[in-house]
Parts: sequence; structure tokens; C-alpha cells
Amino acid sequence: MESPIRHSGIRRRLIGLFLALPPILFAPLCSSCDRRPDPAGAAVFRFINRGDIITLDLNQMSYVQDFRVTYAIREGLFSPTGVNFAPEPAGATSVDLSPDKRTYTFHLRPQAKWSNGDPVVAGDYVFSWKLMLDSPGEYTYLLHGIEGAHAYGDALAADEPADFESVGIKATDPHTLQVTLAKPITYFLDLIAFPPFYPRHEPSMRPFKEGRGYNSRYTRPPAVVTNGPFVLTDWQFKKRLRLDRNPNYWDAGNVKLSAIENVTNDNALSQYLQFEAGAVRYITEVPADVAPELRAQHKVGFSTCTAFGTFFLTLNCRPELPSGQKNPLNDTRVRQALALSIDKSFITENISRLGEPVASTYIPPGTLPGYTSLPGLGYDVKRAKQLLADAGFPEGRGFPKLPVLYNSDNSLRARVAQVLKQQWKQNLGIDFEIEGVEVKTFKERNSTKNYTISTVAWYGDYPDVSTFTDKYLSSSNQNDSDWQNPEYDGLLAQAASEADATKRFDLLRRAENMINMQVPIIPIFHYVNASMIDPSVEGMTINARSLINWKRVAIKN
Amino acid sequence: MGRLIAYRLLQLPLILAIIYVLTFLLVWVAPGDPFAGEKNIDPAVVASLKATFHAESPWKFLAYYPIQIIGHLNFGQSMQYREWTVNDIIKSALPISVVLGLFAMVIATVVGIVVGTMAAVRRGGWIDWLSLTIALVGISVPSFVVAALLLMLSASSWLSGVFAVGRFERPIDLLLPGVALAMAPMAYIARLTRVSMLDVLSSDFVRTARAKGLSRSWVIWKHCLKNAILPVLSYLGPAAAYTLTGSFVVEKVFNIPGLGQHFVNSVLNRDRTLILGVVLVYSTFVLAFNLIVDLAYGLVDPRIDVGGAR
Repeated sequence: MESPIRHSGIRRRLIGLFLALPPILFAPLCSSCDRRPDPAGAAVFRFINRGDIITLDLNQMSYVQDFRVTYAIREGLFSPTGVNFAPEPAGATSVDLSPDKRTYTFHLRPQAKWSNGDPVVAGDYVFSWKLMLDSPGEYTYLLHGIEGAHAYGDALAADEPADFESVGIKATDPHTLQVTLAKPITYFLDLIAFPPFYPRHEPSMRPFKEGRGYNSRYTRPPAVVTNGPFVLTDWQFKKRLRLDRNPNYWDAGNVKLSAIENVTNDNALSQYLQFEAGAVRYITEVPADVAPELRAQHKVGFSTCTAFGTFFLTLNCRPELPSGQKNPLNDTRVRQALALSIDKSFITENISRLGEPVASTYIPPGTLPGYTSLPGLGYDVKRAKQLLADAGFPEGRGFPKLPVLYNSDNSLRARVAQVLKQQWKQNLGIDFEIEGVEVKTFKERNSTKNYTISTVAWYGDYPDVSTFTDKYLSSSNQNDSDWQNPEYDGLLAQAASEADATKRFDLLRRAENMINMQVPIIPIFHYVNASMIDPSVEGMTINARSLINWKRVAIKN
Repeated sequence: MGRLIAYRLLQLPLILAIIYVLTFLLVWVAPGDPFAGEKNIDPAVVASLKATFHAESPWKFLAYYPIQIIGHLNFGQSMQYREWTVNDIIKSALPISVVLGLFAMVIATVVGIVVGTMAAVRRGGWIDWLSLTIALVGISVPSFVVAALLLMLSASSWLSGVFAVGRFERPIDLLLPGVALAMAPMAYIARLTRVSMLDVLSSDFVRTARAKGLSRSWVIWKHCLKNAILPVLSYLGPAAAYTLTGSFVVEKVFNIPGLGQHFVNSVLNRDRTLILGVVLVYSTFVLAFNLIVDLAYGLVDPRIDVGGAR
């Protein structure tokens, strides 16, 4: 028989091991456990941004959450911080416009400094804008309005000799930047208030040089040098970003918060619990799973605002469907019939439930000062039936069974697709099938026009009509419906060279109305931004483009 | 046993290479472009991105990354998160997932074995019914429900200040996620232990041991458990794989920046470099755990010759 004494020794060792296990296990984690203590009484503004930060590299950036952080840490010649978020001088103090409205001469603010104390000079803008062309990204096309920029980019892409001297971006002295456009752009100051036009600090990026561009890691602390009211001091992947007030910022005296913490959290329940517990003061986009409930309960801090985006159906207008059969949607009357037979208010009242405005036009009304759309198509089943009969499908007879595509990660779109199927069956007698696919497949099917009808959305990038209308140019890479109309292209070309803002809006209004009436897309509703803001937060005005003037945000004591 | 370890360690690179190639094939044929952004991107931009990531063709990809991995243990840059390398991501997320997984495993094994043994000893008694209930709940209630309930519990007023709600700040914040993750394997282990314990309890040597005058609890916890634990041991391999890779849901609900979410999200993002990195790391863990379990067989039951017959 084995000795009981030996057993108890084993047992003791086992017990000891179990007791020792947790500290051993947790030891490697404790490097990330240290919580930076906040200076006494200083206000740290914690907020939950939409999803993860994808990138803070100006060349690669395209997501709203990334822009939101960028507005806090960087600044351009102008910033969207004026009344109604209009551009106002920031890195520049003033601008002169030539009589032909093509040459802008920006006078830089002499006191403007980088976060390391270096002065911000015109060469920093030239460097950054050139980099946008050298290493193109999603928003490089915005610079193509500058004289010679498009040709320069094309030459680089084709590996042909390209001369930056031919591009209309010149630093005439350290504090003067001269920009020459190919044609007048009435909204150019809106463009330069957008992050792709912000300056960058070349010396701090030098270690990250790779080929013609830079490795995106130049944006990470401690290497990153920026020129905005805040500076990025800590970035823990998928966890948090810490932004501290930039003491070298030219207007640091007017910055209210001492620090901002961007918390990553994409779970609706835990977002809400964190807000209720006071751990965060602002949720930028309340997830659609919970927003309608919070709205119905009139939760304190919950607010909505019409967004600069529209939810719509895109219709494939090619003569043939991906399957090779003849496409009935190639007939304008069929597209109109489909648009006229959707009861959109049913969708906003029963599915999306955030008080979204029903859409009959492509561009969200009231989001662009001075612009109003012409009325589009409403809900008129009788006319829809007539149009369908005229197109050769009386009572829907002989109409092929077509699929409606949606991305299955989006429960709202899944439910909208079901409603459409049901309404078209009821109102027109046409059978549709619905097809849900995973999101990357969905994007690929749309961009390669491998779909018939698809549920999509478009948000404007800068506050001008063209951010919507350019999408449906025959030559546009974004024209997923492949609707091609020379008259439409002509109107946009005319508008692009029209220097008079009122006349230009008239041309664009006519162009937009062609989209609304010829129906390459069927607008369903205009989006609403739903956010939660703690009552202690001051200086935050919710707006269509979800912009924040970080300088003005403060916490009430 | 030394032979077994050597043999398995020699096998490891080969198995990992096969896993790499299979994963690569699946990743490459999957529809959807890793570089697709919110909008359709200009072909010139896509071309420049593909060149940066050595992703112009499968051959270019295979000519670059495997050498980097073998030579420098460098998995390359994430295609989705351009500021971060796959190594950065794994380094920050893996320790959290491993601790969470091991924590769940410890809870599941200790509680599962104790409850299972007690249920077998008091067969038909209230503790047996209780263990059955726990097992039923653990197996049939999905982890996202348990996780959500525990998350709400952590936010309740009488636990305020104990846990950081929906954040990972201190190790204690892994307690509730660990419990949520442990539920299913714990239930399974409890049932396994009970069944095999009942079997052992009725065997002759138990009666002999008791007749010799050994105490009841000594016989149960020392003699019986050692025999009854074998099925549980063989389950620990798959259970470890489950807790490591299955932590996605729990990580998501509790907002824990672990590797589980990258395992799923990298596929949704078609982040090829990250997918391959995460799959290789997980595979290594699962293989290592299976080896440990095999070795443990030999320790618990010397009759099993783990190294022989090869």
C-alpha cells in the first residue's frame, strides 16, 4: 500500500499549483492593466466611436469613425468648424481667389505648429497632397480637380515619367500656398476642409518610407506628429485611443477638454450599459438593433438627426442580366412601375422606426443650404400597373422571377427585402425572390454589376450636390446600375464648368431629377443618425454629416 | 514517452504546412476582395494595394509570406488594419484569449469533475438532480445568452465597481467571461465524470479498498477518480480547442480584445494575412494541447504506453 503521507504531499502540491495558477496566468496581462491616472479634476471625454478604427493614414482613410478622430488630431487650411459646420480658416488665415476663380492663394497662419513644435509650412501641404497622388487611395480622386493632378496620377500608374512641376500645387514661400484648378470648383473650400487635404509632417514619417508611399504605421504614437487641437498619445488596438490636448496647437487656449478617449465597443448591449453606468458620455451611432427601442422609450440623451445619406435600391439597367437573359429593368417604364408601387412609409414606420424621412429623391432634403430637389415619384399603384402593362407585362404576366440582393449581416435590409417582395407581389402581381449574401460578396456583386436589384446606400463625402450626382456619370466607377445617359453627363459637365453657384445648382437639380424620374435607383428613405449624448456634455451639435467641433466640446461640472 | 514527444514535434511543421496550404486555398478562392472599401475603388488604387501586400497573384503571395513566416516568424501586415502587423495583433490579443481560455478550462474541469463525482456518489439524490440541471442548462443555453445575462449582472448596482462593464481593464474582468465560456464544457465534463464514476464505483477493487478500512472519501477521490477521469482527459483536447476558438461570442459580448474575434472578423474582412496568422497560431495551440493530453494519459494510467507501438 502506498503511503498516505506521500499522497498528501501530492495533494498539497496540487492545491498549491491551483492557487498559484491565477497569478501565473494573469502575469503576462498586467502590462496592459495600468490605468493612466487622470490629472486631478481634468476632464476626460470618453466616447464610443462607430466600430474599430480602421486606419488613421490620410491616404487610406474612408470610414466615418477614422475621420472623426482625424478631425481631433489634424487640421487643414480650413476646418468644418464654422456656423452650420461650414469651412472656416484654420491652418490658413485668409485666401485670395483669382478673377477666373481657378487660382487660390492661401496665407498660412504663422503661429501654426506641429505637435513637436515645428512650424507648419506650405511645403507640408505640398508634401501631403503629392503623397495623395503618389500613393493613391479611395479619396485621391478629390484632388483630380487640381490642374495637372489627374494626368500626373495616370502617368505614375502607367509607370511613365511624371513631373510634379506640372501639377498646380506650389509653395511660393513658407507661408503661402498657391493652388491652381483645372476648372473653377465652387465647393473647393469644402473640399480642403476634408482630411485628404490636410498637411503631414515629413521628417517624422521618414523612417516609414516604402516605395513611393509610406507604411501606415507612421500614424501610431509615439512617432506620429500632428497639427490639430489634440494629439494621439496612446493607441491600443481594438481597445482604446487616447488623445491629449496639444499644447503646441495655435488655438490651445480655446480647447476645453484635456483629453479624449475613443473606446472601441461594437456590442449594442454593452455600449448601452456603459453609457448608463456613466463610463462613456457619447455613443456616436446607436446600433440599429436597439435604437428604435431607445427612441420609443424617450431615453434621456437619445437624439436623432437627418443624415447626409440615402437608403435606396439600385437597379441593373444593362440590356442583359448576369444570367444572360433579357433584362426587363432595361425599360424605364418597368423601373418606374417598381418605384411607384412601394409603400415606403410602411418601411420607415414598421422596420427602421427612427422617424426616417421617406425618400422620393436621391439627395436628402434640407442637408445642403440653398439646394432643393424637384419632386420625385411617389406611391401610385394605379399608375404603376399602367406602366407595367405598357411595358408588355399586364398584371405582371410574363415577368421573369428576379432576385433582390441584400447583405445578410444587415437585419434591416433583410427585412426590407421581404417587404419589397410582398408589396410587389400584392401591387403588381410580380414574384421576386430574395437573396442574402455575406457582406464582402455583396460588395463584389454590386461593383461588378452581378445583380438585378440590390439594397444599397450612399453617404455624401463633402457638402455639395456633386458628391451624390457624380456617382451616376457614365464614366463613374461608382455607377453600379450602369445607367448611361448622355444628357445627364452633359448637364454635369456643364455644371462642372459653371462658376455661378445658383446656375450650377439649377443644372444639378435637373440632373438629379433625371435620376429620380428615370429610376436607375429607387430611393426608400433618408438615413437618420441616432446618438446618445450625456446631458453633461456641452458644445456638441448633432448634424447631418456627424461632424464634431472638438474644440468646442466641454464637460459641465 | 520521449519518443512520442520527438515524433509529434517532428510532425508539427508538416501538419502546420498542410493547414497553411489548405487555408490559403480556401482564402484565395473565397469570393470578395480584401481591398474593397466602403466604395468601389479605382483600379489603380487596388493595383497599388495589391503590390504592397504581394497579393497580385497566388504565386507572388506564396513566394513571399511562407518564407517570411519560416525565416522570421513574420506574418506580414494586416490587409484590413493597415497600421498593424499580424504579429502586433496576435501579440496583443493572444495572451488575453489564452488566459480567458485556460481560465474557462480550469473552471470547467474543477467544477465539472467535482459536481460529476458528487452526483455519482449520491446517485438519485438532490445533488444528482442538481448536476443534471446544471448540465442541461450548460449544454442547451447558448453562450451568448449566458454572457449577456452575466454582463447585465456585472452592471447591476450591487456589483458596481467590482467589474469594468463591457471593458477589459483588469484580470478580474475575465472572471464572468470565463464563467460564460466554461458553461458548456463544464456541463459536458460533469456528465462524463458521473457516467464513468458510476462504472468505477461498482467495480471490485473499490469494495476491496473499503474492506481494507480506507475511508470512503479517500477511495472515491483517489482510487476511483483516477480511473474515472480518463474519458474526461480525452475530452480536454477538443474542449481546449473549443474554448480557444469559441471565445468569439463571449469576447464580443464582453468587449474583450482577444483573438477569438479576429478569428471570425478576419474571414469576414477577407484579411488574408491575418486569417493565415490566426489559423496557424490556433492550430499550434490545438496540436500542443492534444500532445499534452496524450502525455497526461500515461501519467494517470501507467498501463497506457503512450510512446510504444511505433
